[in-house]
Amino acid sequence: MNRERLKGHLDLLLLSVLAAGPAHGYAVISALRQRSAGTFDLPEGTVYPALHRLEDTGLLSSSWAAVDGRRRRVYSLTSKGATALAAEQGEWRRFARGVQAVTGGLVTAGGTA
Amino acid sequence: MTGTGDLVENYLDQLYVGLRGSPRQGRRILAEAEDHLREGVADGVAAGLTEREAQEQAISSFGSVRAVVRAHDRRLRTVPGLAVLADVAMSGWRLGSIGLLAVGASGLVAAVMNLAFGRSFVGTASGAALPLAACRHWFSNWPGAHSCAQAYLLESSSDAVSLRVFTGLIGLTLLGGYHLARRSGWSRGVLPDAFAPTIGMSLFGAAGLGLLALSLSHVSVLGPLTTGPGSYLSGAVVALAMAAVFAVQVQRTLLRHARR
Repeated sequence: MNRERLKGHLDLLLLSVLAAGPAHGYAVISALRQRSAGTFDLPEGTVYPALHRLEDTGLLSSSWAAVDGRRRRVYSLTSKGATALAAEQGEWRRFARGVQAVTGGLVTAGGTA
Repeated sequence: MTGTGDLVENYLDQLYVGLRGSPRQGRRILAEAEDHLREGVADGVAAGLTEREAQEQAISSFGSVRAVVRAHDRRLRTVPGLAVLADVAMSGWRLGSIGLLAVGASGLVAAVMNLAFGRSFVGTASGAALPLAACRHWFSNWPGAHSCAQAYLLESSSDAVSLRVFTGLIGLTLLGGYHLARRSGWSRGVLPDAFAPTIGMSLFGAAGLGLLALSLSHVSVLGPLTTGPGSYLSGAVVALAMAAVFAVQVQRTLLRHARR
């Protein structure tokens, strides 16, 4: 998938993954790749600034944990993040339905042309 | 594996060199990158790759140092205004507390000057008649004084110590509160490292030079009352010392950034 297009929806994707529970960056990115069956495959290191930005805006919170002698930052969805996620999901569904309605028609027309 | 043969270590070294922003942001980015890469290597080895192959794969998936640095730079350029305001307020809190603490320190310097050079060096001498009611008050505090002017001199030189030390205690309390707030995460670490030290250096430097000029000018700023040079000099000594401390901090910060 086009990376620039994916970046436009990255916030929604990250919030959706973290809606399942707190997770560190590696787990979030792995879940993103697995749940999209490899469609969403950004350079992993570029996802962290997005997580930091979501934390800056209060949609995520994070704290340090120690694992195998290393420090690990674990992210959680805040209540503000949950509200924003619900709104984003609703908007996305409306958008996807609209796109599907239009492009689905085009494909059908193209296929029958 | 560590050292020059460890690709992850080499990658993190390059990332460290390329990163900008505050030390706290840098440490966090590096810690997260290392945790991510080490976990990726462990997964690769568990999947049957050699250590080196797993390292190469983990680094490749993480992205080039340039791409990662650029992504963090983009985020740092779009810092929320509230975070900037919070950090400016925190810097003001810190510098204000240090300023009050410096006033307290100048009170201690004034106390030393009182002992070393006599009360007239710090206290205020009067060239005119003083109000009777005020004289009675000063005499009650300084019963051994030979005249109202001497009682006032003793009172003012003593006030220069006690009132300033009291102000310093308020500064110390505020500084403690600042550190508690900082530990609680009130500071977002979005301002340049040299921000507060530069302002501190400028303000304390200007205050120090101004007080030094007053102490040398012998100009009375209180009409017929003549304040001893030690009153200003005690403040100038502390303010210039604080300016020097901040100047060292600025220099260290600039050198650290220059080495990157």
